[in-house]
Amino acid sequence: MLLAIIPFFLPDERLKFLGLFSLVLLPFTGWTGLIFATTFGGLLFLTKQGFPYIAKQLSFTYTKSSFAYQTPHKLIFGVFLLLVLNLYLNKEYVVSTLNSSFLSSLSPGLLGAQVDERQRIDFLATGQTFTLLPVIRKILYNKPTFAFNKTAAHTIETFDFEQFAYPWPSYELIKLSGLSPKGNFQLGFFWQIPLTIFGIYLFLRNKNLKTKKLLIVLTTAALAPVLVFSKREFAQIGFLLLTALVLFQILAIYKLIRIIQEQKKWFLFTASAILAVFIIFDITDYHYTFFYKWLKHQPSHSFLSREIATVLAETKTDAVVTTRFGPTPLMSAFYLTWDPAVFWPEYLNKNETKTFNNITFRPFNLQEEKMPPDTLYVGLVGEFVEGGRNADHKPIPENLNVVKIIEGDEETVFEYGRFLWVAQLKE
Amino acid sequence: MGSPIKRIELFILAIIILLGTLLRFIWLDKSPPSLNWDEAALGYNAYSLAKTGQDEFGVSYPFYLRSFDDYKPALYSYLTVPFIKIFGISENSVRAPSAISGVSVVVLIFLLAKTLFPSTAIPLISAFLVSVEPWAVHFSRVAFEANLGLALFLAGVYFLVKSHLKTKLALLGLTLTILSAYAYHAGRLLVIPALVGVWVLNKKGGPSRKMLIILIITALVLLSPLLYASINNQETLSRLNSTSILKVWQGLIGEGSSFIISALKLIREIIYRYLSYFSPANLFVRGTPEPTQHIPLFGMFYLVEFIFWIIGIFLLIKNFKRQSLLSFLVILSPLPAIITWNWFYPARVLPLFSFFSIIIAWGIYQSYVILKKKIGHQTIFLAGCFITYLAIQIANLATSLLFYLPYKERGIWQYGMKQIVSAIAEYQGEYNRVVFETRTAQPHIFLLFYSGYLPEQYHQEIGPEKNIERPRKSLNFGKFEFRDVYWPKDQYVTSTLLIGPTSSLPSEKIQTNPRVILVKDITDSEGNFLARLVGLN
Repeated sequence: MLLAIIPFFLPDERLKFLGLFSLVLLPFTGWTGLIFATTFGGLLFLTKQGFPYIAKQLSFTYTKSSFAYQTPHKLIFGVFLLLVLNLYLNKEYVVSTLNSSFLSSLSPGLLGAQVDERQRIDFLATGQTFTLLPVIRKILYNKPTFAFNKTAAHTIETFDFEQFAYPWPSYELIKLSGLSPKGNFQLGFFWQIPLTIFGIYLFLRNKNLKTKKLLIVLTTAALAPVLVFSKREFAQIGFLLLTALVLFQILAIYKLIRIIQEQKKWFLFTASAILAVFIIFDITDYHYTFFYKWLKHQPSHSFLSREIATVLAETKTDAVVTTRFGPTPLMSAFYLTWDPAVFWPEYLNKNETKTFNNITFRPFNLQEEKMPPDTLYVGLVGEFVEGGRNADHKPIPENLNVVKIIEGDEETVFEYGRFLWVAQLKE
Repeated sequence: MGSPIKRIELFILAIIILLGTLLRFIWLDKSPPSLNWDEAALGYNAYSLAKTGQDEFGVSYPFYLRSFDDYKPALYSYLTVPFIKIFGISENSVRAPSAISGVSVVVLIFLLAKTLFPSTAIPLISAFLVSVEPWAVHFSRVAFEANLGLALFLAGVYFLVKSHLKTKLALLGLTLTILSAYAYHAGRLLVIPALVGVWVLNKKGGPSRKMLIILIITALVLLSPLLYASINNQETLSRLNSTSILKVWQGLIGEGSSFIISALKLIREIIYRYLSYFSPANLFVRGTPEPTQHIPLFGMFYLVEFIFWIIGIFLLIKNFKRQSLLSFLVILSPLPAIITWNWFYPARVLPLFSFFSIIIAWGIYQSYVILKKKIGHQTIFLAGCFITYLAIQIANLATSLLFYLPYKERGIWQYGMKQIVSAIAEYQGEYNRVVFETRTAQPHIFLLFYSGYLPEQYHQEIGPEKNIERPRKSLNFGKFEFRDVYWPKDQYVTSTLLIGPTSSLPSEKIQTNPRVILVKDITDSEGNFLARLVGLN
């Protein structure tokens, strides 16, 4: 993506072919790439402009040469043809992704149901004694308005400072959007928020920007996936936006440095130094947490799967491994490098239980089923003892020898506990 | 009578006020569907003040109401007294001061915007927005002290700005600004910086030395009771401790970080909170996690305002110096909220929202001017689309508040207490004791409020305030007890009315005991169970 964007900001005409070539490849990297490439390429095609100013500003070249880049239209058209071909060849993928995307929530059927539900609530709220006139109901509750509201809300929700810069501390808030900070990494730092706003302000104010359109094109293209993806995919959407935001931030920093240099006021220097220390602290703190407390950022199921593989690598006896919280056979196959020729046929069969040599993968409940001796059981606490709010702190049954306790950070299955027990029947 | 333009302006303003009044007063007692416990407490304290000149605990003319040991500012209750005297103790009486404050805010925003902008349109658009915006309507329909505080604060700032701190109007402005601190806790943090800011940013020169001395003395005199009451009453400080961001600090220290690292993290937490009040996702879509401040199906502002908010913010940055007062007020307003541990707590930043409304109005006006210049008559079509969509959204807000909220969010508003209390009133005469089971819902205040329990009698039954333990443990008074019902023991009590859920008063146990009568199962209009009344002879 960077290879597709950067050449358009640079003065060298020849590099733009590299940009276009990258733009052709981008859709094949996934949905975000496809949407971005379509919008970016399409808008370039429509605007027919090059944008030398930003390139000059940001690369600090200040070349006196003035050039007006003419988009090679034929190549852009070629990009489109490839995109259409890509979509056609991956019809099933396209359909399945769209079904789980935000766009699916705008289906007429779903909107109609919501319109009906809203009217039903109004009617019930009056004790079934009053209903608004049909014409008023038609004006207030209709599919186009609902669809517009949903799209607007969905778009505005992308401008989410909490999710962008501090999802963990603000969990109380972001959970209202149905998000968990786990797996939805912060995309930037809080101080980048005012910096970006200031950068956008400078960008909009600068009347001499010949390259304004390119940045607008870039921002629009980066925002385009918002309309397709749900908020759950915030990390992906936001990641695209970063490409545009960074340019605004560079513009803001450049301006701030110039102000400090021109003003030569002691308090500006002091304030900048304090700010710099604070920024360094913030970056260091984030990376410290990310590398040393990484379970805080990551959903526990992937960690637990890896730990299961470690246990299985050392197991010589028969073993039963839970599949209650995720595809543990697949993860084990990956970590233990099982032969694909053996693994896939068994994994893809329709049975709930999958068996690979001495290891059986299935959910179990040892309160109800009898545990054979000499078999190692690996599962969530709630599979060994009665689950509940404090499942992890339930006493270990006397007949059970818990060989190892693997501590996850959060419950992967409701009321089954955070921990994973590796246990055997006592002899 | 003024020029024709002036008359049209006044006519439009009158329509806006009428619209704002309708949105705030229609079914005021029915939506939200019940008083929450804070509203009931403010109402009963007002009732007590009206009858005896003493609060719920028998303290004469207090600055603070002890209430649930949260020491509420008493001003709201004092202002409720006339409504209670005229209309009696009711939901409408309790909510009326807030609703009236809400209508006043519409007028005050118009006046304030008029002092900030030469255009006639921006003040009118600002007033219109405040009259219909979700936050403004919702906060006016609930007895929020914050809404009263907002009205007083805006009135104070308006008179201070208008007077240029030179005339007697300045004294009025100063008094009203300081009164806002008496109305709402968070207002205390805003008053002094706001006064200093208005003084510094006063464009037409400062006050004369004599006037300045008068203003400072007046400010000291007006603030001293507040300071005295705060310092003299340890409990008010304990409230500050319980809400302040120092709770976060304790957590950081608890994590084992060094003092400097913890301090840096605390500063970062404060900045996080500050930014959350400018986060579009919070303002326009998801709102707040605070249940009673949450507006169902809406953010704090309408979705369509987002784009104009962006334009307005851009205009504010561009005209930072020319609109220095507005810029200052916007930057300052989140202050009371960011030093508490809560996330996005709208009640503490109502002044910010009102300034946002002015900014949005500015954005709308400027967009119209630019578009008209660029696309001419087509602007009217676009404006028509915008107005039509906005009108639909306003109507949607009205139906959401009048129908959706009372039906779907009853649980948040302790719905059912009124019904339970009226059933108790019907049967309590036959019993010597009434045991009311509840664990969280502060039932005593609903019982006092909805039964209109005589304050003199209540004061006598609970004894002097200084003898009541802090925090208050027993809520009992007269023949009323508030505790868990424990059937194995309570089945032997005599002449007692028990009120509780079916889990505490199960049918099979009641039916097998000949001494026990199932007096009533209280349900709502849809047949959902609220409480069971069981009598033991």
